[in-house]
Amino acid sequence: MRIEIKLYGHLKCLNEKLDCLNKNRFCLEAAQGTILSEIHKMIFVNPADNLVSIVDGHAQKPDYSIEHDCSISIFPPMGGRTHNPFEKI
Amino acid sequence: MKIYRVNMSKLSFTMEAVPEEWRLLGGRGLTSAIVAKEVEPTCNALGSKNKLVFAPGLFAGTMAANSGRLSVGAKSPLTGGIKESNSGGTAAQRLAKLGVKALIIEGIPEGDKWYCLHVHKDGVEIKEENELLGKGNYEVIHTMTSRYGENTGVMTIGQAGEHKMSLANISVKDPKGHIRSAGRGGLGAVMGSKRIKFITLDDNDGAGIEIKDKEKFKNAAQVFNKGLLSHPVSGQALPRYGTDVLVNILNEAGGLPTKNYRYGQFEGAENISGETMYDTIMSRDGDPTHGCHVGCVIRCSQTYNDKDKRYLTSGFEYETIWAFGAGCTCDDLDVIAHIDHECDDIGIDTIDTAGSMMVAMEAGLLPWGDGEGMLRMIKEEIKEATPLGRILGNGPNFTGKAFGVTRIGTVKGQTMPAYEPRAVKGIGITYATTPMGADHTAGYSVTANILKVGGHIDPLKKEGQIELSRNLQIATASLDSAGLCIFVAFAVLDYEPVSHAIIDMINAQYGVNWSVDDWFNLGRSVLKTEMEFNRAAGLTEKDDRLPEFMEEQLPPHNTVWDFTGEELDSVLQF
Repeated sequence: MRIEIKLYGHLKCLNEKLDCLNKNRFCLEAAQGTILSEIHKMIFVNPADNLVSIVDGHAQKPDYSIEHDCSISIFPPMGGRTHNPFEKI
Repeated sequence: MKIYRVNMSKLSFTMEAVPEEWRLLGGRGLTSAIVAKEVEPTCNALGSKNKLVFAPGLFAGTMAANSGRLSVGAKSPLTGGIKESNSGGTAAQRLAKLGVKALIIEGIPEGDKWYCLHVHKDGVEIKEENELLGKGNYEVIHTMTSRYGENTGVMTIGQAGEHKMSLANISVKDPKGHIRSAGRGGLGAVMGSKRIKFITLDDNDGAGIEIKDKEKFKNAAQVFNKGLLSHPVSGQALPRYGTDVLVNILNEAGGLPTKNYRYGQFEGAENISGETMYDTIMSRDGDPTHGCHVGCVIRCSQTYNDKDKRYLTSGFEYETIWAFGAGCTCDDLDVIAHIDHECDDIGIDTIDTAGSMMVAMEAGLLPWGDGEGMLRMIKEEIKEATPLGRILGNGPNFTGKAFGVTRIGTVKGQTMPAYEPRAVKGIGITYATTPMGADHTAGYSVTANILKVGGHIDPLKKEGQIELSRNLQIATASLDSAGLCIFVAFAVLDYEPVSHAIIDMINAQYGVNWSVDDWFNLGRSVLKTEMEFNRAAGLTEKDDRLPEFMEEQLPPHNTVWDFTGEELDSVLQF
């Protein structure tokens, strides 16, 4: 299935790895049943990061199942918790 | 610490000891306590019974990061209720270093003379002022800096404050000599009503800050600092893109109020986004990141140059860019930057000025999207105080009445900023219920609604929003009292040691033994004081409601504002 990806903030730099004509908006082919965290891996972002992913206008969690023709906007980590700097204190 | 009190009716100054009941108050907690105790709630906000209070926060002047916010309080001519508006700049730290807990200005001088105040270690001098009357804030700051030196603090009003417009703010000189603003609620008009054009601050040989346990304070401050720098928002996103990083996020989430709150998405969003701003700043030799006060480690401010690489504006905030941008459907970032510069110079709040512009566009005075037209109206009408300028300068509600427009996006007369209440419902609760009038900083639910900070609550549903807004309003009232920047909240919400570090710093500085409960009780107490003032001033439950047009469906999610009056009335019941 075909999905649209929009990258924001410093994630725009990822497009060099993706060979997608230096655009922060591009399309991907993904298998039916693909979930959001698998999309993250496909575009070289770490799903463990607390990314903000908005699918067709709705913020979704990493286990959200992607549908054909959807538009995914991905923003750099905006929330903490994942890499708690105080874990070793 | 002491209280500096200036009586403009008598043109006199007194220095007072700090009452015990105010010892553990600072910032908003102190301004609201003083206003509630000393100002008659039903008084005319521009009359002699109102008082203007400046107070640094509990940590001002210490090594605690991001603790240099200044609170300014009074009865607001815009909302009719109590107001605390806070600002960056150098004033709070200078007051703290002088040992000044609060500067209270009361009364109105007889006659028509104007004055300036010079604050120093021995008190306050009141001088007649003629030279800078009618001048903008940049000229005032430049002149005072030339006269007294780089290390002089300045708080000033522009032409709008002189004309007592309800949009008038108080401008504060920042470390680079640029302008920060105590923007909301028309406190510049209160200063103008007392015929004070500017206040200079000389902290030489000041009494300084007393810290009971310096080692404990230093350790706690280091934990606090580390938390701010480690968090993705305060450590990465804000320093690089500034607050304008939010344009694309809110747009994609369908929560960017567009064309006077008709839509949740703006087709020109990319042109006014933080990413575009960053690229523009870099291409014009600007500065993408600096702090609004000494000791700020988040550094979300920037210097935005024009096409010829000359300084144009700084502190160019998301809410300003939204207001004149998506709100008025203008996607020209340069024009919005010019508008921001003019607003700073004239001394008017950008959010409410844009609120007036939205109403003007509804009335057909300007075409939608006409950025140059807005700039012209600000420079030729508001600055010159023409009849039209006075209408616009007194806010969206005043403008709506003048032109028969009813689609006005305000609560308690103050414009709802930058986040659509139908698509970010937690912020709608805050807009409706905070004693301040619609104010995103009073309980910033965008954290959990959109950014996944402090958990995640679906922004489109009702569930959890009341509790979210209530808790954030309490926490914010506490942070405002400490003089901490609102953006420390990201780390406070996500990293428990950061919130404990705040308590540790209070205990170390003041020699007390506060718990987390004491900290939140401070916030509850501040809100209670403010709500009681508003009720005594004549504001009622009907003032705690969003505009009727919020019942319309908002594209793209087609959601509506669906909270009942009973639900809203329950928010701050504690």
